[in-house]
Amino acid sequence: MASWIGHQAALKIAGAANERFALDGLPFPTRPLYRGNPAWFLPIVGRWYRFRDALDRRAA
Amino acid sequence: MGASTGFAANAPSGKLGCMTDGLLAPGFRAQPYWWEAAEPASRAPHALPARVSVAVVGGGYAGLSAALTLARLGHQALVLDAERIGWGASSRNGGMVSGGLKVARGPLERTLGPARAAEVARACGASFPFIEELIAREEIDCDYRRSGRFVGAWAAGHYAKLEQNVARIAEISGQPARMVPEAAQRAFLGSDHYRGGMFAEGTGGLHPAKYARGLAAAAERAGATLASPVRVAGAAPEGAGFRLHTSAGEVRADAVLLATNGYSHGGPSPWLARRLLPVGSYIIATEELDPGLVARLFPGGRMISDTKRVLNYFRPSPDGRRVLWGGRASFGPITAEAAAPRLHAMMVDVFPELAPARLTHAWTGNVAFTFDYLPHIGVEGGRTTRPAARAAASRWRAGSGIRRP
Repeated sequence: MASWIGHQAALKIAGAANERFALDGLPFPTRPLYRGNPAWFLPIVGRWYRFRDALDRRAA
Repeated sequence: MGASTGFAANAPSGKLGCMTDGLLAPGFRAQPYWWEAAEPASRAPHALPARVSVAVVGGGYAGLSAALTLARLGHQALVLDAERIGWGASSRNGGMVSGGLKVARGPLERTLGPARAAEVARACGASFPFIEELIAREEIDCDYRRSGRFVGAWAAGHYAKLEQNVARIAEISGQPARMVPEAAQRAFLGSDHYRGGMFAEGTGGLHPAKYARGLAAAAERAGATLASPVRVAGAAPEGAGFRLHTSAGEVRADAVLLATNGYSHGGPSPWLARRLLPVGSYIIATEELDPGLVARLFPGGRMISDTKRVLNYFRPSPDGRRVLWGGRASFGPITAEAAAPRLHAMMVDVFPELAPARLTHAWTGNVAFTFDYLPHIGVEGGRTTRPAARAAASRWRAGSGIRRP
């Protein structure tokens, strides 16, 4: 996928795209106060994900 | 996927805890197994050109592929990477070519509406024929095989969700995809760990570091210039273009492409960094095993991943002698040595036969998530009337990334 994305970005810069690429120019969201380093909240997300995985398996 | 800023390599630590006693094979290395065959090459430093048409920041798959295309279209492309070309996730991921599988499994309709969702899914699915054609056209020697992917359902509810998406995955990839009930999963995986799963044929496996090396060589053959290690501190608009400040001096460019993905934090674009969540992924490689055992665990040599939120992805090595096992061993930064016993335990959960298998390699690298789980290209800050575009490319997870990556 990365190779494809890079190819499409190159076509865009070169003005050589034959048709619009669906992943071009979509709203690109961020979050308030987020500056690019998720180290402080990733462990919380991780614990939540592990909990949800365990729950799903038990529900099966 | 990208290369390079703000990532600290895990230096081998001198002392290993008792948890790892007996687990690591003699000669264990805390670096990618892939580097044994294709370690990213150092490039002799040389003076940067004063002016180029496009400066590409980040020498991973995205940046190299962009440089190749730009060079083929007659543009002078310069790729700059703060580490060696291909040093990041491009030479660390699991080597799984997913063909848009992950995006197609995501909640597209809900977030984009049905019409836009179909467009996006098609755009992602087109990545699969693209990479197959690219490998063939550029004759990239990277052990590529259209192996197919088995996605194991961690829970019965996950199986039902896969079933809802299987027709769309087949349609998007243009290749068959089908459900595999639990009773039949031994045809795809030598384990009863999952509640059945899905098999998608429009997916493959390759040697990621050989692919990165081959893509870099193809870009150079086409006329692109690759420079590393060169760190880009900033790219300021100037006239109709940009002036880049780098550790090797200044460069002027008509356009700048940022392809730094999981290594964007601390790079030239705080705007891009704010939109990407770098997350470490971890992989281990076993010592050489009995090829008969590897063939029993991976019938048909498929790529395997599962539906857990804390994902596992695993595969045989291209030579069929080892098992490579990747996962999110930790959500905080830990060393590859610390991750190794955790991944080994996850592997033994699925393949009890591998309990005695020792590890020769463990490594880590960054993937990046976006907040909408989609890959993006676009112009920084949104629309612009400037003729000189500053485009930002990023992708959703390293898919093959290092969850491939």
